[in-house]
Order: sequence, then C-alpha cells, then structure tokens
Amino acid sequence: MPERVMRAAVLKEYLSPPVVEEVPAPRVEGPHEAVVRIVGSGVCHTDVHVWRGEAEAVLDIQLPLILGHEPSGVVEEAGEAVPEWLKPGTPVLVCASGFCGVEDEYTLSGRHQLCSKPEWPGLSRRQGAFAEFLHVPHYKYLIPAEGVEDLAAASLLTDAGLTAYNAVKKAAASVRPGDYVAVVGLGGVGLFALQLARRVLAARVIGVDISEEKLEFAAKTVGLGGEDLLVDASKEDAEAAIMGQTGGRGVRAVLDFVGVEQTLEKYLPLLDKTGVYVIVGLGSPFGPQIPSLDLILGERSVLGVLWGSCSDLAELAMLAKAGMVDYKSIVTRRIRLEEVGEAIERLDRGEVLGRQIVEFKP
Amino acid sequence: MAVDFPSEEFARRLCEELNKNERYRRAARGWRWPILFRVEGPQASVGFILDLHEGECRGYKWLEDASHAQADYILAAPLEVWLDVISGKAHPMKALLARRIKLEKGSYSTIARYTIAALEITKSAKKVLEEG
Repeated sequence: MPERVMRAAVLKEYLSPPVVEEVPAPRVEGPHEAVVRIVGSGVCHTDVHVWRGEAEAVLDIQLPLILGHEPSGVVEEAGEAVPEWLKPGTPVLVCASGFCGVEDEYTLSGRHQLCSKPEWPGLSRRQGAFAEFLHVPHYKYLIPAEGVEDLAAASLLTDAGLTAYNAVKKAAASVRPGDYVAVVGLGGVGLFALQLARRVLAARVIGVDISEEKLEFAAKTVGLGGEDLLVDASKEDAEAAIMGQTGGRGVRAVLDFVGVEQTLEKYLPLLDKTGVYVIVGLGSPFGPQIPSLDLILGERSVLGVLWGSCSDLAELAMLAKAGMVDYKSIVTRRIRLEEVGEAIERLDRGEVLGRQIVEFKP
Repeated sequence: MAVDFPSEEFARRLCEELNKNERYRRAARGWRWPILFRVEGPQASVGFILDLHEGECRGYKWLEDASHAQADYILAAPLEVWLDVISGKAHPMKALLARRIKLEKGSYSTIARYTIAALEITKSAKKVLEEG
C-alpha cells in the first residue's frame, strides 16, 4: 500500500518555529484504533512550555515532535472493533488526556489524566495534533460530537474546557448555589471556569486578572450577572474588593489558573472557612509558601488539578450540546497550520486574548 | 592549562565562552539578571556571579566567601551536584525541581522559561573544563 502523507507542523529545535512539512500519515493497525482527520486544534500555553524546552524536565519528550494536544475532528479510519457509533464520518472530540500506555488503578477508576505512563499527543513521544490526521490508540478516547456546533472551535473543550471543568468539579463539594467563587487568571481556561462555575455550581463569580484587556474580554464573552464581579488586581486592592463583594465572608472557592508565588499567598486567606483552593496554573512548581495556619484554623483545603478525564469530557460535550458553555466566543484567532509558530510566539509574549485554534478546512 | 571548578579562572573562562555561544545568545534573549552560582562546602561556600544580560555575559565576580553574597538570582548546590550538571549527568532544571540545586532567590517560573539557556550554560561550562 503506498504510504500516505500529511502536512504537519514539526518542532525540530527548541525556540525555533515548527516546520510545516509532509510526514507519513498515520494508519489504523489494530482493531481498537482510529485515525481522526483534524478539524480544529487549540494552541495552549503548554505548547509554549514545550517550544521553550521547559517541558523536557517533566515530560518524556523527544524532538522532532508534532505539537498539539487539544483536537477535534472526524473519524477517518476505524479498526474492526471500533463500534458503529464511531464509524468513519463521525465528528469527535479527542480525549488526549486519556492516552495512556498502561491500564493502572487511575485509568481503571476513570482518572485517565493521572495515568502512570502518559502518552499524550504532542506532550510525549507520541505525535500531536498540529497535523491533518491524528492516530488514536483506542476508540475509548473519542467522544462523539454530533450536535456540537462549530466543531473546530469545540476543540477547546478537550483541554481548556476540560481542565476548567475538572477544577469546577473539585470545588463543587464546598460551593452551594449563590456562593461566591473567585477565578484568578482570565486566559482561555479561566474564561471557561467563569462560565462553568456559574452554570454548573450556580455560583456567583469574581474574576481576577492584572490585564485590563483580559478583563474587558471576559466582560464581553462570559455573560456575567449583576452580582458577579471583575477585579483588576493591577489597579485595585483585590482583597478589599473580594471581601467587600462577599460581605466580609470571603469566597467558598478560589480557582487559580496562574499558580505563582503571589497568587496563593494573596487569595488563600480570602477563602471562607472550609473553602477550597484549587491550583491549576503551573506558574511555579514549588508553589508559594502555604499558610498552614489559615488552612488549619478554617479547615480549608488546597487541591491540584491536572487536565481532566475522558468521562469529564463526555459530560462537558453534553453541556456544550445543550448550549450551557460558550466555547465559540473564546476563539479569537483561527489560523492555518503554517501560522502555528507565530501563534505560539504570540502566546509566549502574552499577546493573546481567549484562545487560538488551527482550523483545517476541507 | 587545566581549569578547576570552582575557581576564578573558571568563572572568567565561562563568561568568555558564553559570549562565543550563539545558541546561548539566542536562548537567553530576555534574561536580564545576574546569577550567583554558590558551591556549598562543609565549612564555607565559594562561588561566582555572572552578570548575564540579554544573551551576553557582561562580567563575572569571584567570591572566596559567597555565604552572604547577593544577586537577583541565587543558585546553590554542593560541589558534586554542580559537577553532575556540568558533565551532563544531571539536567539542570530537573536538578532544580528535585531541589538538588536550590533556587534561594529568584522566580522559578522565570528561570524555567530559560531552560535551553541553562542547558547551553552547562555545555559551555563543560567545554571550559574539558578544554582547560
């Protein structure tokens, strides 16, 4: 059979733009496998970390590597054991967080992202989704997306949306309807969190950022209510604003999508007793000093979030189909494959509002 | 002539070598802070400060007693750890994450962005020791 080729953006050298070239296209080899024709592939800050060479210290990465781990597409080819409802032609969201080299206690209990041998596309030695086709090692990583509008934009659900959803679910036990939740960092993931905290937890939200542009974008895209609040922490006293808005009580949860020394130290004391601090941002792996006295006296909790599971993605897809999460407005740039390098560098320079996606048109 | 690590001669030669390293120059664009590299010994610590700025080494300062020296970034580790990193046996950022090298001052999130620059510093350091 003649080898099929595809176009892909290949990172060959750190800090250099990925090179768009023809590479062998994947094929199905096993009965449970699939090949997806990519329709949309989000550009994520983790791609920046990989591009800068940072990820080598924590992930098993080897160049050359096709980046991209936030894909949606259409099933192109399916192994003989792939069920009928995922036959070729089916639109799908790809649960990249679930790609795993082993079945372990985490994958078997549905916590796919905690797999002990992750093989995340574009974040391991497995080729990623800034390409025309993606090999999917098992059909269980495919979430049907019939009824999901704008399939290319829906690619954001597979990472930005999914990570935010996991963070919101982690906070759920501490948040009652009407309680306040603070979302720190209003990039693509934070924008999802603002929406999902309102819709899923019925919470009132306080969005915090130091960028006036990001705050304006959040105001325009999220559909906040009269009792929600956006705080510009570069100009206002964020603590006073949050305590004022909550009547001195504090928030029930903080979802921190920045995760640097300053954010936890600043916002953890603003938690109500028994509140939960969810750290998602990878700003500083050692983390800030955790004020343990505040934790103990108020029986507060600190939780970490890494991406999300495939069952979370299936739930999120249902919310998207029901119109309960707006992913389309978060897409601010639709780019061609050739523009991936420039998109990564723009993101690195902090010049991106919302999220960029590579859109593959037929 | 063999160069010892750590030594003033090593610091001087490393600074020179970095200025010849084009990959370092590109990878370190945006870096604007001097770094104190402190070698911890049983009784005392020696070290050197490299004045690194936008891909250039603008100078060095040798410290016979680095125990109380200051710089915008301070990296401290025992001799054997530095030697592991310079020889390539240990990845510098993995050593930081594992706290084999302590970041006593400075932002990890900033230093992590310059992983490739850090790797080039170790390559230049290795070259200084090998070529003497």
